[in-house]
Amino acid sequence: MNAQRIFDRARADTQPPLCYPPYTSTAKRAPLEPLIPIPPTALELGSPLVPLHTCPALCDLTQAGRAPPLGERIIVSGHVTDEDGKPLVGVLIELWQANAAGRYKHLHDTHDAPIDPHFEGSGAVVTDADGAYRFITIKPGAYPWRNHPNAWRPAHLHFSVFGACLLTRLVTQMYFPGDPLLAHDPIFMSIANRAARERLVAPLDWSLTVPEFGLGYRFDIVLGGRSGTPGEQA
Amino acid sequence: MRMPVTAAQTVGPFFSIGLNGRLAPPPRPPQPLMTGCIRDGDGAPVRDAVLEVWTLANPHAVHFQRTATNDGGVFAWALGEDSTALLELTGCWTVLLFLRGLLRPLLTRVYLPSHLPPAHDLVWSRIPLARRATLIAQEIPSAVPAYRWDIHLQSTLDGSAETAFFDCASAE
Ligand SMILES: [Fe+2]
Repeated sequence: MNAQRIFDRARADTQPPLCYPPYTSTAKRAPLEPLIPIPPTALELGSPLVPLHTCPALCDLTQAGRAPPLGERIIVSGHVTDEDGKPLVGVLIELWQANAAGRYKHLHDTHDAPIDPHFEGSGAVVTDADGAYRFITIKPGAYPWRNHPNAWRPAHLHFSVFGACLLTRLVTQMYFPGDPLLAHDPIFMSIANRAARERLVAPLDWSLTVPEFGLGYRFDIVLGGRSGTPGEQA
Repeated sequence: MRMPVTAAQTVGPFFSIGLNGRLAPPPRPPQPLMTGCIRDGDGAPVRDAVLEVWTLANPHAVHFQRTATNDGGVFAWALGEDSTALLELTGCWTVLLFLRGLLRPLLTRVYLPSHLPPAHDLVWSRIPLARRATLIAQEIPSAVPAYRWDIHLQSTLDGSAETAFFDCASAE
């Protein structure tokens, strides 16, 4: 029951701040007043009636077009758990990404790289009885953005994750190991704690890699929330 | 053993590729609705925001809908036939706001002037008096219930006050 669950205030260094000057868009968009601390109510703890049916599950992004998309096929898989390590079943994961050339299929993406007519770049799955999920897709390309002169985003997948209630809601990005752009990316570097940052980098995993098919990357996700035992110290 | 919560990252400008399939259809007048504009610290409309609106459907479940701003920074969500009954239950809508330039989402609420919470309300009582007005929608004259609520990410030179945003956790 969510009523017995404990949701701790995020440790300041393991989550990004709202205002982070190297990410220039935060300057005019991040609130300047301090956030007002409030306790959870039924609204923040209630289970969402998410209309899952409005969009069919799509775990293989390479099958959405009439022909396979260009690029390096990969498998991205992992488990979704709470802070106690308990697998979370039936969690909706939405994914979106650029194509292999680093171009989004979006009206406002003006990067001069080709659109792949066979790649939409969106997927959605629900975690199974073990809290596991698995996508097949292609590795996205790096792309330029206008944050600072010669700014490039490292290759990344956008993840949106729905847990048991509003307080577990997570939108994040997954990165690839060994990417030299990571250290120069203000969005990635906004997380001050190095270990917390590195957890967004999905390691290559041989058990997920399918011979003659594609490399596998493991991206485990931990949503907020833990069971409360009376007297336990946070 | 405690597992550390995965860090958040911005939703970025191209979220509609992944999230549009689950956007609620925009309300069609004369459908009851809540509408408004999101503005940044320069007063410029924010054209790439996602709003997730959570209302109590019953004491244990929350009704969820997702909407996005248009090119004018304007959003709208349908209040539904049962909105008055829902309001008796909750008194407000809770909104999670995602946008480019926000590294993690913002949590806020909108109340109706006719359904303001009592002074001892757990959440309302914590909002400084001077900031409460930023969370109260204004009625739009209309045949059906319609309300306007603008969101200001920062206060602006023309006198708009920054909307009150929350940090929700079990312990203080
Ligand atoms: Fe991106």
